[in-house]
Amino acid sequence: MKRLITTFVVFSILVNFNIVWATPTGFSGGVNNEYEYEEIVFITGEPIKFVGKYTITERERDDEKTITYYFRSLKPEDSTIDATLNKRITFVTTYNRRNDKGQTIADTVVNGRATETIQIGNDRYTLEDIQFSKSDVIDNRPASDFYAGNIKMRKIYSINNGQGKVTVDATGSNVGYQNFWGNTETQMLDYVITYDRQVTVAGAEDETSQTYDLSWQGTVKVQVSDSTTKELKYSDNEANFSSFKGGYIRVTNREIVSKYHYNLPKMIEVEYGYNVAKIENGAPHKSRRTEDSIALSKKMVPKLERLIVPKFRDTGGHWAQKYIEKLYSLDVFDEDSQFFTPDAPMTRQEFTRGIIKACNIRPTLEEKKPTYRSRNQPKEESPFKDVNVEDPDYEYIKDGVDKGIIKGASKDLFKPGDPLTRAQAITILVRALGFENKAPNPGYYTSFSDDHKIPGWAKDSIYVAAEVGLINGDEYNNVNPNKPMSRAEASAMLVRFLEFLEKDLQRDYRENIIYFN
Amino acid sequence: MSKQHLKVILLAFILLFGFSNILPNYSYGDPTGPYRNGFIEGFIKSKGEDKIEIEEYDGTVHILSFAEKVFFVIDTIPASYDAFKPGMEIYATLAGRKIDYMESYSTVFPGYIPEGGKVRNGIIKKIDRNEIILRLPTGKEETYFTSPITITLKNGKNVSLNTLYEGDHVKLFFDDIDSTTISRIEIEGKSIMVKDLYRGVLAAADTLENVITLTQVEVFRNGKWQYYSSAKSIPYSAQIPIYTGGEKVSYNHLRYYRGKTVYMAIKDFFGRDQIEKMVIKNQYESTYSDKIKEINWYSEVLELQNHKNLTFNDGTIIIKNGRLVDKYAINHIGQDYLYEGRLDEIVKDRIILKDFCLLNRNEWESFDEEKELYYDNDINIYDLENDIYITPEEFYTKDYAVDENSDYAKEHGLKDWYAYIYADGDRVSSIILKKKRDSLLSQRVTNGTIEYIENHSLVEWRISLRDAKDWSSRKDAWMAKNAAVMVMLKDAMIVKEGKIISPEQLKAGDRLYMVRDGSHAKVVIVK
Repeated sequence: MKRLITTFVVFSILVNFNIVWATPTGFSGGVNNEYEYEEIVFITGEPIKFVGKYTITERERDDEKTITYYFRSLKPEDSTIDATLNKRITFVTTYNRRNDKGQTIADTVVNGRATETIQIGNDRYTLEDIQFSKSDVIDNRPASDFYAGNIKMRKIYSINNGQGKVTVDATGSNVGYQNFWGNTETQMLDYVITYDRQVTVAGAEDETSQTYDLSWQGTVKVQVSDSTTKELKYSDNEANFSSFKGGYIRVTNREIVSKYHYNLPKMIEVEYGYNVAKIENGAPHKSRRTEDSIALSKKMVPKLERLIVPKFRDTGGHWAQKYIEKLYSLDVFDEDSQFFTPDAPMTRQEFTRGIIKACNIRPTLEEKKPTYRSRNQPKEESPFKDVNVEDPDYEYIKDGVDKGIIKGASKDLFKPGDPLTRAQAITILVRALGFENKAPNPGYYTSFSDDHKIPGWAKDSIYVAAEVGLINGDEYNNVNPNKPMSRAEASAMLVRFLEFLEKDLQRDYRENIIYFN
Repeated sequence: MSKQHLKVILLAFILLFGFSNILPNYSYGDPTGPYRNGFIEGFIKSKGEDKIEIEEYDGTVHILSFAEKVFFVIDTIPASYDAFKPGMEIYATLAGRKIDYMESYSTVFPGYIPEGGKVRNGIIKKIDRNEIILRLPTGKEETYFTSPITITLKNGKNVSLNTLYEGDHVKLFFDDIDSTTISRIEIEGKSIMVKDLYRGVLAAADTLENVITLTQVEVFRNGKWQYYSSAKSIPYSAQIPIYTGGEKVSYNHLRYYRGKTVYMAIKDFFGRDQIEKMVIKNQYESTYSDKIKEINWYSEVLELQNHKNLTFNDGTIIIKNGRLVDKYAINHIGQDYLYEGRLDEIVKDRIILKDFCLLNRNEWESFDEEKELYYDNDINIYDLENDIYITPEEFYTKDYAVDENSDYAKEHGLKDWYAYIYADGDRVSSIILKKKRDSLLSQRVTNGTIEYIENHSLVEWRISLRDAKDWSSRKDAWMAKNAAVMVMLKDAMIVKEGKIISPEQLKAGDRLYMVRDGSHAKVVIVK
């Protein structure tokens, strides 16, 4: 038994520290950090903030993920309220991978018996029934997964074992993305709370007992977002006699935020003899309502990863120094010499490797089974005459081509050493995001002055890149699609792309949703 | 072959060649035309693995194969061979007898995007009637226009466009890729507002977690710096630059400024404070409160009415209507109007005001004439004497405006009522009605932020207003109060987003603009 407990503790610690997939805790708008959890409970008709310890255990198996939330005796933050909340619930998500479409369908249900009891003063609310269904579609694109889903839930609580019942109906949706540089899931849930309760008060001696109706209905809009981002930060070297000046750190930050907007009846002091404690003041006002919002946030302690230090001799003071050093720290460039030659042209091969490394683009959807290379297996053959299987970058080029990020210059030539044009670079970035389909129907013009110079194959990508803010025109509003890019320019564009994955997506999936609703 | 046959064939040849010379592109019934002209037009009849059957417009059918390198294009963008379907109309060029380029069209609506398919996100830099200048996150500025059918949403609720202020964060939606007319505009809710101004001494900067720790933290209240906390850690938003003396400071260098005083505009980020703009004190500080007399954009100097010259720059924290704005938003006038007057006539969609007053630049200006205002079913009408909301029907059928000289009026002792009217242009959005006229002379205009709101047992709803300023017509400037002001809300018209609300819907932190008589608010507008 002792061993079991130890295993359990170790397991939950491991789970808590493991930042894999940011998903808001439970489906009640709660937020947590490594240490504690908090959520607002509206079941009495008045918001009460509960705080306390929690355990989350996650188990992943092939196409199934099981996650159990366990909240042990959460207590109200306001210590004058006498209340306790206990709940335990397990969700199981089944993934149906549609590799032919590059998409995954994820269905989530409640597994087993969920328990929840809320004791508030003399009132006890017990979860009698929960119905839950969530379904997501995940679009697996090379540089990032994007997903969206819908949630439907109904919870029924009994009050004091049959004195009444509370029905919580929730309907909502969620959106999210996940990539190497960040992942965010924002859930928007609309709760309708129906409180149905009659209280019979025994009359004094000769009077008959009287029944009071305490029923009410209220709505709560919950928006909750769990977000992780990885950011590169520069740190100076404090020591003077060191072999290097300073270097980059990759900082992983995770934060859960939530906002509740509620519309509930105004609770009034009851006039009849029913014994009321502070929050059991039960009687809803006939017509007056309380409308307000409450926000919560919890931040985890950042995780740090120190990166290798660039020592180029020719990048100091260059306008792109910062970008080049960032990418070098990330191992994106395999430059062994002490000269980076920032103004030399970027080649197709280097850029392909660059984007795959920078975004940590994973191997294809299909889990690669360990393969045993038998002698009979045909030798790997390069799809391009000019890229040798032995080439250290062969894997990157092949992966890029397989994922549709880049195409050969012709049927059997990749032209790895050719300089990369801006149109090619932009197309690679947009394809990595899988955004090329966001372009309008063909037959449109982009807003750039040199629209006529944009090759047909690059038009959609350039349009989309400008729309999402990945690129801007120059001072003459030209996009210069056919201009070869220097290594410095390509570095700046890649760093901007990483920023997009890290910050722009987060803003779009969190602030731009919650602040506007 | 007989001689006659040969003649016929020759004649046919001559005829054909003759015509094809005149109309080289239309070689009717000519099976070799495409090879000579180097292109083929028509419909795909059927498709094979490496061959395609094309029916020309004239009905001639060709079976063609493909060259080593072929370009397939549909609707001007590259496509695969698979995308071509039998029945499609195509144009192809030939190299010898093989196709090396093939194009087709499939799109019915070129350039189509779904409704709201083009989105812009940014901060409102300037509003000029229906023109909006938007600053995108990239720093680029774009100009767009609103139209009467532009849908405006704030916090997910449909509101009037007047609730849009400079400095607001918005999402604009367009139905067309080239359109500059906004079809829908979403405005960020209360989270855009600056909650407080802090100052403190920088004690520590954690650039890994984006948090600074300050000591001797003070908050700017009622025109003075007041004690807030002896030490406090506040997260900052790393996207926002820090300034000192108008120059940007890198976050890495923040630690070199320990011991310096910093000034911060604070916003609420999901229930906690977050720094949205930060300036490190450069020289000395003094507080002025006066009206701007002149602005010189070139030298970035503004002159106050008291002839003090102040410089400003990109780093200057400028707050207007509770929102952080850039320096170009320093002067601006609102778009809504507040009227007070006698209801001379009310008809189904119109009110005629007599002897009315208009709040012009924070002062009541009286007009000895009539003013026609319009209303519709969206109007909010509140009868102060009976304490009830009334419908537009009741409004024009009841005796709120009578002919005072008529026998009916004299018999029943009826008189015209008076009203405060909140209007968007000439369209009334809210109105409150009362029997007796207030003395406007004793009224003054005040703005400030709600410190707290309470339902007092004797005077009913009242609010304490911090950072309050009264308008002084003599000085033509906002005069800051040095203490919070208590204002009673009984019988006041409270307008939020163009609608009348009840006092309990006000929240601490709301920024108000009000007309009051002593401690009694008459009209309160939530900004």
